[in-house]
Amino acid sequence: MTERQLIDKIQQLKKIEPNSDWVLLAKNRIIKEETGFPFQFIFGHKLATSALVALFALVGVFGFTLTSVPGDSLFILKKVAENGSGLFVAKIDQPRHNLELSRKRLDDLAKIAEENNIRHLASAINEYEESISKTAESLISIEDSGIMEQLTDDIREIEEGEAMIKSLGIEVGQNDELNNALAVIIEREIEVLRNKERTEEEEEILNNITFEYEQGNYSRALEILLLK
Amino acid sequence: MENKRKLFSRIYDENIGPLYRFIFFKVNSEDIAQDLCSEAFTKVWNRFDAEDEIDNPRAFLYSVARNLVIDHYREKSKIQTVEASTVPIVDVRTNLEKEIVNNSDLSNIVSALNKIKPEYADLISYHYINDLTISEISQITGKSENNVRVTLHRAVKSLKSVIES
Repeated sequence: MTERQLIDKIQQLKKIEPNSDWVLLAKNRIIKEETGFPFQFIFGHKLATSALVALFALVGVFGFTLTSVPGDSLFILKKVAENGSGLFVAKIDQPRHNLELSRKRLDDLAKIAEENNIRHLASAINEYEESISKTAESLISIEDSGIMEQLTDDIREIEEGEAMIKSLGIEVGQNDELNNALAVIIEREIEVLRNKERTEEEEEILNNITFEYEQGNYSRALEILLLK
Repeated sequence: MENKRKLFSRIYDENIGPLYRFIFFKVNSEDIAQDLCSEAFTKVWNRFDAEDEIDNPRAFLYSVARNLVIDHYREKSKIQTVEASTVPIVDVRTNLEKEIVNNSDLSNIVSALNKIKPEYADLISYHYINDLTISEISQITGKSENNVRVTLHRAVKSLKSVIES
């Protein structure tokens, strides 16, 4: 082998590339470019939010914003509009509103995953996890089981969507916050059932719920609970 | 601030691959290479934050990376060895492991790079794998450009000699 041939062979080692997901995540972590100063400023001031909602209404006629996904420059306007509309949602309807936003973020993530749009993947995962965190918080605050019943389908839809995303090989993190929220709700209901006199049928329901709860099947436990 | 962010972003995009390769060949671990790479870029970002500009960001980046690798081995007291047969998969898309295993020349090169003087391996990595210019290598190593050229020539000869032995 001549030196020239050796150098050519050495240069083949340039094919080593770092994992592309890590490359994006590391960059975002270092400079926080996706969620830096402008983002916090906008959401920290309701007045600014209202003004930007109005601005969004003007820009929105072009239709670009609504189709934007996390990582797009216009996505921030879409988010401002969504958060702005949330300001006018009654407290009792907040869980539904937040679930709807989580479902939208999941749709964004699915779209990005299907298009293999690696550049936007990290942003989409962050946005989804952030929205789930917010949803979990609002679910815990629900005390009316009637409202919870209406949300069961939405919760299951999100769980199925997340399973689909994971089947594409994308790790969206353990959905701990949503699971924890469901666990808290179920624990609360189990406690209520245990502390009352039960019919034979209610005893069986309690056993089934406890079984699903212990298996970590929180949405299934919730379903049994709400159908009782 | 926005300009600094854009500039850093460009430097990051242009150098993340080469810097990762440089560190990976020295530590033989994807995880450690990622950690040290992140740390190197964080130091560059902090420097950007504190100062208006860096004369040659790429040279600065490699200097930082080189020191981080030295610190890593100093802390862990590890011996730098890479067996060609155990080079891990770095990115399945490149299928490099398969290629190295199936390509005895590449296999020998990876193995030989870890048998020659570390200084020689560094120069080969800088220039031929990561495309740093002689001038940039001169800044990183603190040696004259002429010295870098001569040492690089010796490094290739040394590598060839190890492969052929």
